[in-house]
Amino acid sequence: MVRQAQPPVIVFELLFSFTQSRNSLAPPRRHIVANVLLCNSTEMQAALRSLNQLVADRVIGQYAIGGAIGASFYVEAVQTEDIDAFVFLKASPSGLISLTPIYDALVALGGSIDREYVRFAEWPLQILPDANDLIRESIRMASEVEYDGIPTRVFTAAHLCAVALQTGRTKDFLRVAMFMEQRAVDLEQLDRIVERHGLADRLSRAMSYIQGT
Amino acid sequence: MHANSDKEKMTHIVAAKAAFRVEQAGKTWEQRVQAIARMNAADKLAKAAMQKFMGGKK
Repeated sequence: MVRQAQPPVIVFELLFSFTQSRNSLAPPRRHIVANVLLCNSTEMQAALRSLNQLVADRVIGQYAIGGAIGASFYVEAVQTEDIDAFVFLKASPSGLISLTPIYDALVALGGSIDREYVRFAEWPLQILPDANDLIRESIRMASEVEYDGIPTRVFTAAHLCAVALQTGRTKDFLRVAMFMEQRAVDLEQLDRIVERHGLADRLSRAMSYIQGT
Repeated sequence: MHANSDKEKMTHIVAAKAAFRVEQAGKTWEQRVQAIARMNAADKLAKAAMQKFMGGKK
């Protein structure tokens, strides 16, 4: 029988049992399951606390969580490797924008640099600048929420969809389709954002994904 | 869980994924993020095992 409690674990338990039948070097299944179950959210809290500290210390103007982690506030979880934090950056006196002060501050708060990320244990945090009007609007209008008691900010469902449309990869269109399928987005609000930012053709493409499924 | 053939295993995987979707519908943000963390950890382990498996075939 399939157990209901931890479906993701079951999937990989099956994968490993499949692997074990061909490779005696694979570690015992019980050990693998125990490893998977050890995951928790404290690293996520650490990342959010650090972002809040950056705002308090005026290293950044403000931030909001977007991407798949932001989307999981509204719709079912999908796999992602990182936390996308969109931030209002402060320009230096020369007018140049640099992420270095942010990365330095995050390292001082317990993060470690890992390629383009600052890692808080298992969670890589990616700092994304306020690159265009839509991102700036998304940060400004983000919802004030809590994650396990930590205050934070998440893009609204409509802004998550609009940013996904603007990014325009297949997985982004599928994310928009997921919001629509699960009735997790205010379509009138999305329409207004789409019109304001010239994303009507992208929305049509996302709709074709829904009609095709 | 005892699945003998690959077809049976795939059936169980599909069932587990369907159960996961149903389960996720009523979850909090924290629970969903924890589910993502578990998926990531499982993915990492699966990749490591697959590499070992592929290496073992040489």
